[in-house]
Amino acid sequence: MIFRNIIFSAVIVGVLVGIIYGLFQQYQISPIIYAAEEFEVVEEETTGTLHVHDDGHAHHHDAEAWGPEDGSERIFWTMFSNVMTAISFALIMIALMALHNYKSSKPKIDAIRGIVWGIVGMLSLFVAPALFGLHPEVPGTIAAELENRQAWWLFCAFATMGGVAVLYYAPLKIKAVGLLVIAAPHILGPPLPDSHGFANTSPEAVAALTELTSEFYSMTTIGMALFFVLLGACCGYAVQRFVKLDQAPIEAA
Amino acid sequence: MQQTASLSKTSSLSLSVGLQVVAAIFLGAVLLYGVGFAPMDVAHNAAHDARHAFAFPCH
Repeated sequence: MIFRNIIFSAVIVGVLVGIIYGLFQQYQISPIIYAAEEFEVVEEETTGTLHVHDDGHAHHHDAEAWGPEDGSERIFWTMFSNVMTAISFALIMIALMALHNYKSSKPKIDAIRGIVWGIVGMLSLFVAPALFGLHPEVPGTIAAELENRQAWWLFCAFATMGGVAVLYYAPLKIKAVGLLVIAAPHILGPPLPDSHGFANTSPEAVAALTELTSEFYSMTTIGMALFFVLLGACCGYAVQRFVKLDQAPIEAA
Repeated sequence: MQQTASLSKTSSLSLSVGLQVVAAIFLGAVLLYGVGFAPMDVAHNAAHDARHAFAFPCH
C-alpha cells in the first residue's frame, strides 16, 4: 500500500526535520520576531467591544481570539507548527518522488538526489516567492492585502516548481517553456503595498526594525536552507527505503 | 481460479498508484493550508512565528 507508506514516511521525516529546524528557529529566528513585536503599535479597536443586550444588560466582549501565552506555550505551538509544515511538505515531496520513480525513466531517487529536490523546494517555496518577491517580514511591516499576497505566493511557488519540472522532464525542444513559466510570476510582479515601511513610524522604531529585518533575511535564509536540504535528503532516503513501487503488488497479494 | 483473482488484484492495484500519490499530495496540501494559510485568528496565532519564519504571507 503506497499511500500508507508515504504517510508513515512523511510523518517520521516531518517530526525529525520539524524539530531540528524548530530548534534553529527558536534560537536564531524567534528572538528577532520577539524583538520586532516590541515596536508593534496596538490597534484600539482590537482590544474589545462593548455589547449591549435588549434587556439593557451590557458586557464586554474580548475581540482578541485565543493565542498562545508567551513563553513555553508559544514555543510549543511554534514547534508544533514547524512539525506540521514539515509533514505537509514531506507528504507532497515523497508523493512526487514516488511518482517520479514510478513514471520517469530518469535515475531513481536516493538521499543524495533528495538533496537536489530539497534545493528545488527551497527555490520554489522560499527563494522565488519570498526573497525575489514578497520579502520575509518581521511583525509590524506594512504589506499589501493578505489574500492577494497569498494568491501570488501560491502562483509563484507552483510556477517555479512546474517550470523546474518542465526543464528537467520535458523534451529539449520545449524546455524553454519552463524558463518562461518560472519568470511569469516575477514579470507579473508581487502585490506590494503603496508605501513601504513599518506600522510604527517613530525614528528609533524604524531604525531598529530595519536592522531586525536584515537580520531576519539572513536567519530565515539559513534556516530554510537547513530545513529544505534536510527535508530533501530524508524524503529521498524514505522513498528509496520505504516506498517501493515495484514491490507493491507482491506485498498486496 | 486463484491465480486469475490475484492477477486482476495486481493490475487494479498498480493502476491506483497515481490515485494514491494524488491522495497523499492532497492531504499534504490540506495540512499546509491549515498551518500556513488558514485565515482564522486561532490558526494564525498558534502558527504565527512559524508562518513568519517560512515567509508565508502573514497579517
